[in-house]
Amino acid sequence: MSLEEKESYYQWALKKGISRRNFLKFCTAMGAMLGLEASALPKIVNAMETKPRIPVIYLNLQECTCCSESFIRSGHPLVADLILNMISLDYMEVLQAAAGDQAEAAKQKTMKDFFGKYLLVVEGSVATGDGGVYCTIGGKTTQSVLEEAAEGALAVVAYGSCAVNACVQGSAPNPTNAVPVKEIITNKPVINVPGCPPIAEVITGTIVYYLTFGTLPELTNQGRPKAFYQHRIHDNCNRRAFFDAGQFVESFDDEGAKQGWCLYKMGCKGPTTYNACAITQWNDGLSYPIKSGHPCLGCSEDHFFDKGPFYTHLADVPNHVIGKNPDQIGLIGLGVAGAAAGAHALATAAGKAGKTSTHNSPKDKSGN
Amino acid sequence: MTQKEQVYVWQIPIRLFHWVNAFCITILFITGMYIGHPAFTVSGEAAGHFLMGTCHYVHVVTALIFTANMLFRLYWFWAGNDYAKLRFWRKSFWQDTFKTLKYYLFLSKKSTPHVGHNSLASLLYLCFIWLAGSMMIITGMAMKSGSDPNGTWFALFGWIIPVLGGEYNVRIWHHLLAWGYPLFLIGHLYMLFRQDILDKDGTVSSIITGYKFVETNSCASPDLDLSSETISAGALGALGAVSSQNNSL
Ligand code: SF4
Repeated sequence: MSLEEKESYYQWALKKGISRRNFLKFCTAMGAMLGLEASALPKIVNAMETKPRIPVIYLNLQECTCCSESFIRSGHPLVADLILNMISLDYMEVLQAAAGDQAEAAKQKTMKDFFGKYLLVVEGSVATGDGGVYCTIGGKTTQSVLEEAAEGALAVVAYGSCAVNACVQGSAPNPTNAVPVKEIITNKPVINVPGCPPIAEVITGTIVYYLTFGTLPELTNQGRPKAFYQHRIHDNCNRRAFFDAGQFVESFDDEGAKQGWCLYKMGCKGPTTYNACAITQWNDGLSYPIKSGHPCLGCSEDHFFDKGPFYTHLADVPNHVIGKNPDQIGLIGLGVAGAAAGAHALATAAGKAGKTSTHNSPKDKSGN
Repeated sequence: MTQKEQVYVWQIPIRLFHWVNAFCITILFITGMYIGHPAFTVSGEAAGHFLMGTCHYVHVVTALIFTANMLFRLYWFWAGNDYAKLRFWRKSFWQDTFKTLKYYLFLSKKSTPHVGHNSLASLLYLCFIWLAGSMMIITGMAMKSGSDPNGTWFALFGWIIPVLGGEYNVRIWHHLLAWGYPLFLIGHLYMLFRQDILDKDGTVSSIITGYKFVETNSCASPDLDLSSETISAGALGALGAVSSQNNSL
């Protein structure tokens, strides 16, 4: 079956009994989520009606599957349904019924039939240490699995912080030498979708965008889809008013915590974290960490796990090696400099006094 | 007893730069410390306060003045007199640096007379004021501009975020480098008061008046040729020439 023979999203939706009204709603929601103008809506509808569903291969490499969990729990029920069905998910170990050889055969078939036309979504990092023995699938190392699947992909989506920056397993000392996808795949566009886990809608949004415009969405300077990752959590945070006012939670059970004050002093990384949590939120817009009272850990930022301790505002640098945060280092430096200046002053005075006593002539005291 | 004469060293723009810079750094350090460690928490309704917001605002406005001041000084390297220059690419600069270093390490007793900065001091300015200062400006502007990711500021400074590996690292660097300023201040104050006391050359007051007192027989540092301006200023300064007795302690 060639790609052209595959049914379009709309055909699929009709078959599923989804009404035209709901279909259009979905298109509108997608357009809004991607930050597109209203004029883009007909284009989206047209693309969804005519273009065949993109085949997707979803790899699970060295990871904990929290990204998959997020992926199947998209908030809006229609979106959730569509995520799973709008793409023709040809291979995903977690969800597919087939196992073993059958699963492998399905993947091989997609890679052959749709060479150059399928999207590769990768969850997890690549374990490269000791020849890749720390993570193997079907007897192959994660690196060879990834390279094989990426060969005929039109683009690679690095889904989740593991795939973007090696996340927890890549934190110091990184025993398995886990590396992110972008270090292995250098000849294809790699879209970084970081987060631990990331928001599911980003995948749908990326696919809709690609179908509509035939190009990949605009990326930030860190290679992430701009529509979702251009703003800081802090700049859209619902506790921001308390930050600006200067009202901070000091401990998790104080009065400020009850009042919903800003979590800055509890170690909130919202001010330096670029993600859509504060806007799209989680579980159908129900909440996100800060809203529910926990400081942001900055899970979508590179190597967030090394930037601890989590509940203090400044991390120890670098990666706990010194075990001091910048302010402690600064104060120590100041102390040392002060002591050095004092010692130097004493030495100078001693030198002068010494001179005075040995050469008791006024001329020699000048120091000039 | 040595004859001393008055030399016009720091032109008005230099003195202005110095004090604007000192003022800005003080404000930036204090507001920055509050932003990093909001020590006091206000009570009542959030709508009634804007403490962090005000600090942040003052910090940003001062940072812009600070940056403009730095840019002006950059121009004055070119336009100013010989003492306004920092020619670290010359061999004589480094020779003087080592000589001065030896002097400060008590390895040589003689202080080389300098009218402007000695090379060691210039080197400290290069590191603490110029290199660290530029990093402070870039990292600070990057953090400021993140709130408008499609704006001009972000286009100008946003590149530092991926270079340093994320905005959290940008923040860490901003904090770390900020401590360079008080560190520098200790060295700066110590060295100039020491210089003033030992050589009686008016180093301390020169940043207000512009004049220093220099022994007539050895008034130039090796790498500085006296400009006509200096000489005429020196002649003018003869009016107020002070003969000082260095052994008067
Ligand atoms: S809770 Fe975090 S993200 Fe929200 S305003 Fe406070 S510091 Fe910013």
